[in-house]
Amino acid sequence: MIYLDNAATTYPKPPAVIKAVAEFMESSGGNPGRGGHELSRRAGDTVYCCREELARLFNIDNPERIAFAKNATEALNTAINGVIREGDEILISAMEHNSVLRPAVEAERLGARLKIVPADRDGRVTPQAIEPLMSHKTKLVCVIHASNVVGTVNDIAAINELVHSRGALTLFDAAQTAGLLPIDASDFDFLAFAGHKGLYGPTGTGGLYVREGLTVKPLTFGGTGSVSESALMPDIFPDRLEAGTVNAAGIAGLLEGVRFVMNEAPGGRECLMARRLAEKLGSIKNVEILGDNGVNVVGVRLRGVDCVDAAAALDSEYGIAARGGLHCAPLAHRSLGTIGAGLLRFSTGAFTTEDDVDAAASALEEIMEG
Amino acid sequence: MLATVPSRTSASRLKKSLAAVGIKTNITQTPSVLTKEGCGYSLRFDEEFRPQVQSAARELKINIRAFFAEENGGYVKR
Repeated sequence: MIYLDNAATTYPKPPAVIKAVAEFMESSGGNPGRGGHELSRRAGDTVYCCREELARLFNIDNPERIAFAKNATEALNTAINGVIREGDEILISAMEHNSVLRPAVEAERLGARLKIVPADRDGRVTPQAIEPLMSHKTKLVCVIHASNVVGTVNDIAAINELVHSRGALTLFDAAQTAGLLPIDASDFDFLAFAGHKGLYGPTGTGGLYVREGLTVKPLTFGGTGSVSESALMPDIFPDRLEAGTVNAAGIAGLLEGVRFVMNEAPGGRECLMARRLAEKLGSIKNVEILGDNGVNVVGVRLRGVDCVDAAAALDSEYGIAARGGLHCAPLAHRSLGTIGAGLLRFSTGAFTTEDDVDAAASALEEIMEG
Repeated sequence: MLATVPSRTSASRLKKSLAAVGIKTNITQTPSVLTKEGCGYSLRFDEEFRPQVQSAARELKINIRAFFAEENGGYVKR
Protein backbone atom coordinates (compact mmCIF):
# COMPACT_ATOMS: atom_id res chain seq x y z
CA MET A 1 0.00 0.00 0.00
CA ILE A 2 1.22 3.47 -0.89
CA TYR A 3 -0.31 5.72 1.71
CA LEU A 4 -1.05 9.24 0.50
CA ASP A 5 -3.81 10.17 2.93
CA ASN A 6 -1.62 11.69 5.62
CA ALA A 7 -3.86 14.75 5.92
CA ALA A 8 -6.51 12.42 7.39
CA THR A 9 -4.01 10.83 9.75
CA THR A 10 -0.34 10.07 9.28
CA TYR A 11 0.69 6.51 8.58
CA PRO A 12 2.92 4.77 9.34
CA LYS A 13 3.83 6.19 12.72
CA PRO A 14 7.50 6.37 13.72
CA PRO A 15 8.59 3.17 15.55
CA ALA A 16 9.33 5.19 18.71
CA VAL A 17 5.66 6.25 18.85
CA ILE A 18 4.41 2.67 18.68
CA LYS A 19 6.98 1.56 21.25
CA ALA A 20 6.05 4.36 23.64
CA VAL A 21 2.35 3.45 23.56
CA ALA A 22 3.13 -0.23 24.16
CA GLU A 23 5.58 0.57 26.97
CA PHE A 24 3.10 2.89 28.63
CA MET A 25 0.43 0.20 28.57
CA GLU A 26 2.88 -2.39 29.87
CA SER A 27 4.75 -0.54 32.57
CA SER A 28 3.36 2.86 33.50
CA GLY A 29 -0.32 2.60 32.81
CA GLY A 30 -1.59 4.48 35.84
CA ASN A 31 -4.02 7.38 35.70
CA PRO A 32 -2.15 10.70 35.47
CA GLY A 33 -3.21 13.22 38.09
CA ARG A 34 -5.29 10.74 40.01
CA GLY A 35 -3.75 9.48 43.24
CA GLY A 36 -0.15 9.57 44.35
CA HIS A 37 1.20 6.08 43.70
CA GLU A 38 4.15 5.20 41.51
CA LEU A 39 2.20 4.33 38.36
CA SER A 40 0.06 7.45 38.59
CA ARG A 41 3.21 9.54 39.09
CA ARG A 42 4.91 7.97 36.08
CA ALA A 43 1.87 8.53 33.90
CA GLY A 44 1.62 12.12 35.13
CA ASP A 45 5.27 12.73 34.31
CA THR A 46 4.79 11.40 30.78
CA VAL A 47 1.76 13.59 30.17
CA TYR A 48 3.57 16.63 31.53
CA CYS A 49 6.65 15.94 29.36
CA CYS A 50 4.40 15.93 26.31
CA ARG A 51 2.82 19.24 27.35
CA GLU A 52 6.29 20.70 27.78
CA GLU A 53 7.53 19.51 24.37
CA LEU A 54 4.42 20.91 22.69
CA ALA A 55 4.99 24.23 24.45
CA ARG A 56 8.55 24.25 23.11
CA LEU A 57 7.33 23.42 19.60
CA PHE A 58 4.78 26.25 19.61
CA ASN A 59 6.96 28.75 21.54
CA ILE A 60 4.55 28.87 24.46
CA ASP A 61 5.98 29.93 27.84
CA ASN A 62 3.62 28.05 30.08
CA PRO A 63 2.86 24.36 29.32
CA GLU A 64 -0.08 24.54 31.74
CA ARG A 65 -1.98 26.48 29.08
CA ILE A 66 -2.07 23.46 26.75
CA ALA A 67 -5.09 21.24 27.36
CA PHE A 68 -5.24 17.84 25.72
CA ALA A 69 -8.25 16.92 23.62
CA LYS A 70 -9.16 13.88 21.62
CA ASN A 71 -8.58 15.71 18.32
CA ALA A 72 -8.48 19.18 16.77
CA THR A 73 -12.28 19.13 16.40
CA GLU A 74 -12.79 18.84 20.14
CA ALA A 75 -10.23 21.59 20.72
CA LEU A 76 -11.96 23.92 18.24
CA ASN A 77 -15.36 23.20 19.77
CA THR A 78 -13.96 23.97 23.20
CA ALA A 79 -12.67 27.36 22.07
CA ILE A 80 -15.81 28.37 20.14
CA ASN A 81 -18.30 27.17 22.72
CA GLY A 82 -16.05 28.46 25.47
CA VAL A 83 -16.13 32.12 24.48
CA ILE A 84 -19.07 32.83 22.18
CA ARG A 85 -22.29 33.97 23.84
CA GLU A 86 -25.63 35.26 22.59
CA GLY A 87 -25.14 38.59 20.82
CA ASP A 88 -21.45 38.02 20.08
CA GLU A 89 -20.14 38.02 16.57
CA ILE A 90 -17.96 35.22 15.26
CA LEU A 91 -16.02 35.39 12.00
CA ILE A 92 -14.84 32.23 10.32
CA SER A 93 -13.03 31.89 7.02
CA ALA A 94 -14.61 30.39 3.92
CA MET A 95 -11.95 27.65 4.01
CA GLU A 96 -12.94 26.20 7.38
CA HIS A 97 -13.52 22.54 8.04
CA ASN A 98 -16.81 21.35 9.52
CA SER A 99 -14.97 21.25 12.86
CA VAL A 100 -15.33 25.05 12.86
CA LEU A 101 -18.37 25.55 10.64
CA ARG A 102 -20.68 23.31 12.65
CA PRO A 103 -19.97 24.73 16.13
CA ALA A 104 -20.11 28.24 14.62
CA VAL A 105 -23.51 27.55 13.04
CA GLU A 106 -24.68 26.09 16.35
CA ALA A 107 -23.52 29.28 18.08
CA GLU A 108 -25.50 31.27 15.51
CA ARG A 109 -28.56 29.16 16.20
CA LEU A 110 -28.20 30.07 19.88
CA GLY A 111 -28.11 33.81 19.18
CA ALA A 112 -24.59 34.70 18.01
CA ARG A 113 -23.97 36.37 14.67
CA LEU A 114 -21.89 34.40 12.16
CA LYS A 115 -19.97 36.02 9.33
CA ILE A 116 -17.97 34.18 6.68
CA VAL A 117 -14.72 35.75 5.46
CA PRO A 118 -14.20 35.11 1.75
CA ALA A 119 -11.06 33.46 0.40
CA ASP A 120 -9.28 34.12 -2.89
CA ARG A 121 -9.23 31.63 -5.77
CA ASP A 122 -6.36 29.65 -4.15
CA GLY A 123 -8.26 29.44 -0.89
CA ARG A 124 -6.18 32.10 0.84
CA VAL A 125 -7.67 34.29 3.59
CA THR A 126 -6.08 37.69 4.13
CA PRO A 127 -6.27 40.39 6.80
CA GLN A 128 -7.67 42.67 4.09
CA ALA A 129 -10.61 40.30 3.65
CA ILE A 130 -11.23 40.08 7.40
CA GLU A 131 -11.02 43.75 8.34
CA PRO A 132 -14.20 45.06 6.64
CA LEU A 133 -16.29 42.35 8.30
CA MET A 134 -15.16 43.13 11.83
CA SER A 135 -17.32 45.23 14.14
CA HIS A 136 -17.25 46.23 17.80
CA LYS A 137 -19.26 43.07 18.49
CA THR A 138 -16.68 40.71 16.93
CA LYS A 139 -15.53 38.40 19.68
CA LEU A 140 -13.63 35.68 17.84
CA VAL A 141 -12.02 35.22 14.42
CA CYS A 142 -11.30 31.60 13.37
CA VAL A 143 -8.94 30.87 10.52
CA ILE A 144 -7.46 27.61 9.31
CA HIS A 145 -3.65 27.72 9.11
CA ALA A 146 -3.52 25.56 5.98
CA SER A 147 -6.44 24.22 3.99
CA ASN A 148 -7.09 20.53 4.44
CA VAL A 149 -8.45 20.50 0.88
CA VAL A 150 -5.76 22.25 -1.19
CA GLY A 151 -2.95 23.00 1.27
CA THR A 152 -2.98 26.80 0.86
CA VAL A 153 -1.26 28.37 3.85
CA ASN A 154 -2.58 31.50 5.53
CA ASP A 155 -0.42 34.18 7.14
CA ILE A 156 -1.81 33.69 10.62
CA ALA A 157 0.71 36.04 12.25
CA ALA A 158 -0.57 38.91 10.11
CA ILE A 159 -4.19 37.92 10.76
CA ASN A 160 -3.47 37.75 14.49
CA GLU A 161 -2.05 41.27 14.44
CA LEU A 162 -5.07 42.67 12.59
CA VAL A 163 -7.62 40.93 14.80
CA HIS A 164 -5.89 42.03 18.00
CA SER A 165 -5.68 45.61 16.74
CA ARG A 166 -9.48 45.51 16.48
CA GLY A 167 -9.89 44.06 19.97
CA ALA A 168 -11.09 40.54 19.13
CA LEU A 169 -9.71 37.09 19.91
CA THR A 170 -8.02 34.70 17.46
CA LEU A 171 -8.50 30.97 17.05
CA PHE A 172 -6.21 29.22 14.58
CA ASP A 173 -6.77 25.70 13.36
CA ALA A 174 -3.40 24.01 12.98
CA ALA A 175 -4.81 20.54 12.33
CA GLN A 176 -2.92 20.34 9.04
CA THR A 177 0.20 22.26 10.00
CA ALA A 178 1.29 21.38 13.54
CA GLY A 179 4.57 19.54 13.05
CA LEU A 180 4.82 20.50 9.39
CA LEU A 181 5.24 24.27 9.52
CA PRO A 182 6.86 26.41 12.23
CA ILE A 183 4.20 27.92 14.50
CA ASP A 184 4.85 30.66 17.04
CA ALA A 185 1.67 30.75 19.11
CA SER A 186 3.06 33.03 21.81
CA ASP A 187 0.82 35.92 20.75
CA PHE A 188 -2.24 33.90 19.70
CA ASP A 189 -5.34 33.54 21.87
CA PHE A 190 -6.19 29.96 20.87
CA LEU A 191 -4.37 27.35 18.81
CA ALA A 192 -6.06 24.01 18.12
CA PHE A 193 -3.96 21.11 16.88
CA ALA A 194 -4.28 17.45 16.00
CA GLY A 195 -1.80 15.05 17.54
CA HIS A 196 -2.27 12.29 15.00
CA LYS A 197 -1.41 14.16 11.81
CA GLY A 198 1.83 16.11 11.38
CA LEU A 199 2.83 15.40 14.96
CA TYR A 200 2.77 11.63 14.26
CA GLY A 201 1.00 10.68 17.48
CA PRO A 202 -1.78 8.07 17.75
CA THR A 203 -5.37 8.84 16.79
CA GLY A 204 -7.35 10.19 19.73
CA THR A 205 -4.78 12.90 20.48
CA GLY A 206 -4.92 16.66 20.00
CA GLY A 207 -5.06 19.79 22.06
CA LEU A 208 -5.86 23.43 22.60
CA TYR A 209 -3.53 26.24 23.64
CA VAL A 210 -5.29 29.00 25.54
CA ARG A 211 -3.46 32.26 26.18
CA GLU A 212 -2.71 33.15 29.78
CA GLY A 213 -5.46 35.27 31.31
CA LEU A 214 -8.29 33.99 29.11
CA THR A 215 -11.20 32.26 30.77
CA VAL A 216 -13.04 29.61 28.82
CA LYS A 217 -16.21 27.75 29.65
CA PRO A 218 -15.38 24.03 29.55
CA LEU A 219 -16.96 21.76 26.97
CA THR A 220 -17.00 18.82 29.37
CA PHE A 221 -17.53 18.85 33.13
CA GLY A 222 -16.30 16.24 35.57
CA GLY A 223 -13.42 14.96 37.64
CA THR A 224 -10.02 16.58 37.33
CA GLY A 225 -8.11 15.11 40.28
CA SER A 226 -8.05 18.60 41.80
CA VAL A 227 -10.29 20.79 44.00
CA SER A 228 -12.57 17.76 44.34
CA GLU A 229 -14.80 19.18 47.06
CA SER A 230 -16.07 21.87 44.74
CA ALA A 231 -19.03 21.08 42.48
CA LEU A 232 -17.68 23.62 40.01
CA MET A 233 -14.93 23.08 37.48
CA PRO A 234 -11.63 24.52 38.74
CA ASP A 235 -10.32 27.74 37.21
CA ILE A 236 -6.80 26.36 36.96
CA PHE A 237 -5.40 25.17 33.65
CA PRO A 238 -5.22 22.64 32.14
CA ASP A 239 -7.61 21.01 34.66
CA ARG A 240 -10.46 23.32 33.66
CA LEU A 241 -10.52 21.83 30.15
CA GLU A 242 -9.53 18.26 30.99
CA ALA A 243 -12.47 16.66 32.77
CA GLY A 244 -12.11 12.90 32.95
CA THR A 245 -9.06 10.78 32.29
CA VAL A 246 -6.88 11.98 29.43
CA ASN A 247 -5.68 9.58 26.72
CA ALA A 248 -2.43 8.93 28.56
CA ALA A 249 -1.27 6.03 26.36
CA GLY A 250 -1.94 8.13 23.28
CA ILE A 251 -0.15 11.09 24.83
CA ALA A 252 2.86 8.86 25.57
CA GLY A 253 2.94 8.14 21.84
CA LEU A 254 2.37 11.78 20.98
CA LEU A 255 5.37 12.74 23.10
CA GLU A 256 7.58 10.60 20.88
CA GLY A 257 5.84 11.96 17.79
CA VAL A 258 6.66 15.53 18.82
CA ARG A 259 10.26 14.52 19.51
CA PHE A 260 10.41 12.88 16.08
CA VAL A 261 9.19 16.09 14.45
CA MET A 262 11.59 18.26 16.44
CA ASN A 263 14.55 16.04 15.59
CA GLU A 264 13.82 16.13 11.88
CA ALA A 265 13.49 19.31 9.86
CA PRO A 266 9.74 19.82 10.58
CA GLY A 267 7.69 19.16 7.48
CA GLY A 268 10.68 19.18 5.17
CA ARG A 269 10.18 15.79 3.56
CA GLU A 270 6.38 16.00 3.49
CA CYS A 271 6.41 19.36 1.69
CA LEU A 272 9.17 18.31 -0.71
CA MET A 273 7.27 15.21 -1.73
CA ALA A 274 4.04 17.21 -2.08
CA ARG A 275 5.74 19.67 -4.43
CA ARG A 276 7.12 16.79 -6.51
CA LEU A 277 3.67 15.23 -6.66
CA ALA A 278 2.01 18.51 -7.64
CA GLU A 279 4.50 18.97 -10.49
CA LYS A 280 3.84 15.49 -11.83
CA LEU A 281 0.06 15.58 -11.43
CA GLY A 282 -0.09 19.03 -13.00
CA SER A 283 1.26 17.67 -16.25
CA ILE A 284 -1.53 15.08 -16.64
CA LYS A 285 -4.27 15.92 -19.13
CA ASN A 286 -7.60 16.89 -17.51
CA VAL A 287 -6.03 17.18 -14.07
CA GLU A 288 -5.95 20.64 -12.51
CA ILE A 289 -4.03 21.47 -9.36
CA LEU A 290 -5.89 23.82 -7.04
CA GLY A 291 -4.43 25.99 -4.29
CA ASP A 292 -0.77 26.62 -3.59
CA ASN A 293 0.12 23.27 -1.96
CA GLY A 294 2.18 25.05 0.70
CA VAL A 295 2.00 22.10 3.04
CA ASN A 296 1.71 18.33 2.46
CA VAL A 297 -1.66 18.49 0.64
CA VAL A 298 -2.23 18.36 -3.12
CA GLY A 299 -5.86 18.78 -4.22
CA VAL A 300 -6.70 18.07 -7.85
CA ARG A 301 -9.83 18.65 -9.91
CA LEU A 302 -10.46 15.91 -12.47
CA ARG A 303 -12.29 16.52 -15.72
CA GLY A 304 -14.26 13.56 -17.05
CA VAL A 305 -13.63 11.23 -14.10
CA ASP A 306 -15.45 11.27 -10.78
CA CYS A 307 -12.96 11.96 -7.97
CA VAL A 308 -14.44 9.28 -5.69
CA ASP A 309 -14.25 6.73 -8.51
CA ALA A 310 -10.66 7.73 -9.14
CA ALA A 311 -9.82 7.27 -5.43
CA ALA A 312 -11.52 3.86 -5.49
CA ALA A 313 -9.54 2.83 -8.58
CA LEU A 314 -6.28 4.01 -7.01
CA ASP A 315 -7.08 1.86 -3.99
CA SER A 316 -8.34 -1.29 -5.68
CA GLU A 317 -6.16 -1.38 -8.80
CA TYR A 318 -2.92 0.25 -7.63
CA GLY A 319 -2.91 -0.09 -3.84
CA ILE A 320 -2.71 3.68 -3.39
CA ALA A 321 -4.62 5.44 -0.59
CA ALA A 322 -5.90 8.90 -1.52
CA ARG A 323 -9.19 10.63 -0.70
CA GLY A 324 -11.91 11.86 -3.01
CA GLY A 325 -14.98 13.90 -2.04
CA LEU A 326 -15.53 16.97 0.11
CA HIS A 327 -13.05 16.22 2.93
CA CYS A 328 -15.54 17.40 5.59
CA ALA A 329 -15.06 20.92 4.25
CA PRO A 330 -18.09 21.89 2.13
CA LEU A 331 -17.50 25.56 2.86
CA ALA A 332 -13.99 25.34 1.37
CA HIS A 333 -15.28 23.46 -1.67
CA ARG A 334 -17.92 26.12 -2.22
CA SER A 335 -15.22 28.72 -2.09
CA LEU A 336 -13.02 26.82 -4.56
CA GLY A 337 -15.94 26.09 -6.89
CA THR A 338 -15.71 22.33 -6.40
CA ILE A 339 -18.78 21.77 -4.20
CA GLY A 340 -20.59 19.56 -6.72
CA ALA A 341 -17.83 17.28 -7.93
CA GLY A 342 -15.38 17.48 -5.06
CA LEU A 343 -11.64 16.94 -5.38
CA LEU A 344 -9.13 14.15 -5.27
CA ARG A 345 -6.69 14.80 -2.46
CA PHE A 346 -3.23 13.34 -2.05
CA SER A 347 -1.25 14.06 1.11
CA THR A 348 2.31 13.06 1.82
CA GLY A 349 4.03 12.02 5.05
CA ALA A 350 7.50 11.74 6.53
CA PHE A 351 7.88 8.26 5.04
CA THR A 352 6.65 9.06 1.52
CA THR A 353 9.31 8.26 -1.09
CA GLU A 354 9.98 9.58 -4.58
CA ASP A 355 8.90 6.16 -5.88
CA ASP A 356 5.55 6.49 -4.06
CA VAL A 357 4.96 9.87 -5.62
CA ASP A 358 5.93 8.73 -9.10
CA ALA A 359 3.74 5.62 -8.83
CA ALA A 360 0.74 7.72 -7.77
CA ALA A 361 1.21 10.12 -10.68
CA SER A 362 1.53 7.24 -13.18
CA ALA A 363 -1.53 5.53 -11.75
CA LEU A 364 -3.68 8.65 -12.00
CA GLU A 365 -2.49 9.22 -15.55
CA GLU A 366 -3.64 5.72 -16.49
CA ILE A 367 -6.99 6.23 -14.79
CA MET A 368 -7.51 9.54 -16.60
CA GLU A 369 -6.68 7.92 -19.92
CA GLY A 370 -9.42 5.38 -19.16
CA MET B 1 8.48 20.09 53.88
CA LEU B 2 5.42 20.31 51.65
CA ALA B 3 4.37 23.11 49.30
CA THR B 4 0.77 22.79 48.16
CA VAL B 5 0.31 23.77 44.53
CA PRO B 6 -2.74 24.37 42.30
CA SER B 7 -2.54 21.28 40.09
CA ARG B 8 -0.65 18.14 39.11
CA THR B 9 0.63 20.02 36.08
CA SER B 10 1.94 22.95 38.08
CA ALA B 11 3.62 20.45 40.43
CA SER B 12 5.41 18.88 37.45
CA ARG B 13 6.42 22.24 36.11
CA LEU B 14 7.86 23.38 39.43
CA LYS B 15 9.59 20.03 40.00
CA LYS B 16 11.32 20.19 36.60
CA SER B 17 12.40 23.77 37.11
CA LEU B 18 13.97 22.91 40.48
CA ALA B 19 15.57 19.74 39.09
CA ALA B 20 17.29 21.90 36.49
CA VAL B 21 19.16 23.68 39.29
CA GLY B 22 19.93 20.45 41.17
CA ILE B 23 17.14 20.51 43.75
CA LYS B 24 15.38 17.20 44.23
CA THR B 25 11.66 17.26 44.99
CA ASN B 26 8.87 14.71 44.89
CA ILE B 27 5.28 15.13 43.81
CA THR B 28 2.85 13.80 46.35
CA GLN B 29 -0.89 13.92 46.92
CA THR B 30 -1.70 16.61 49.44
CA PRO B 31 -2.70 14.96 52.75
CA SER B 32 -6.42 15.39 53.36
CA VAL B 33 -5.88 17.24 56.63
CA LEU B 34 -4.11 20.03 54.77
CA THR B 35 -6.73 20.85 52.21
CA LYS B 36 -10.32 22.00 52.41
CA GLU B 37 -10.75 21.61 48.66
CA GLY B 38 -10.39 17.86 48.35
CA CYS B 39 -7.80 16.21 46.11
CA GLY B 40 -4.69 18.16 45.32
CA TYR B 41 -0.96 17.89 44.87
CA SER B 42 2.11 19.09 46.73
CA LEU B 43 5.84 19.15 46.28
CA ARG B 44 7.94 17.53 49.03
CA PHE B 45 11.49 18.81 49.55
CA ASP B 46 14.13 19.52 52.18
CA GLU B 47 13.19 22.59 54.19
CA GLU B 48 16.57 24.22 53.46
CA PHE B 49 15.43 24.68 49.83
CA ARG B 50 12.31 26.67 50.66
CA PRO B 51 13.77 29.98 49.34
CA GLN B 52 14.63 28.34 46.02
CA VAL B 53 11.18 26.74 45.79
CA GLN B 54 9.54 30.11 46.48
CA SER B 55 11.74 31.83 43.97
CA ALA B 56 11.09 29.24 41.23
CA ALA B 57 7.33 29.39 41.88
CA ARG B 58 7.40 33.19 41.62
CA GLU B 59 9.27 33.01 38.35
CA LEU B 60 6.81 30.46 36.92
CA LYS B 61 3.82 32.36 38.35
CA ILE B 62 2.73 29.28 40.27
CA ASN B 63 0.72 30.17 43.32
CA ILE B 64 1.97 28.10 46.27
CA ARG B 65 -1.01 27.91 48.57
CA ALA B 66 0.87 27.07 51.74
CA PHE B 67 4.05 25.52 53.18
CA PHE B 68 3.83 22.80 55.81
CA ALA B 69 6.67 21.37 57.87
CA GLU B 70 6.42 17.72 58.86
CA GLU B 71 6.78 17.50 62.63
CA ASN B 72 5.96 14.78 65.17
CA GLY B 73 4.00 12.76 62.67
CA GLY B 74 1.85 15.75 61.72
CA TYR B 75 2.02 18.99 59.75
CA VAL B 76 2.64 22.56 60.87
CA LYS B 77 1.94 25.51 58.63
CA ARG B 78 5.02 27.64 58.05
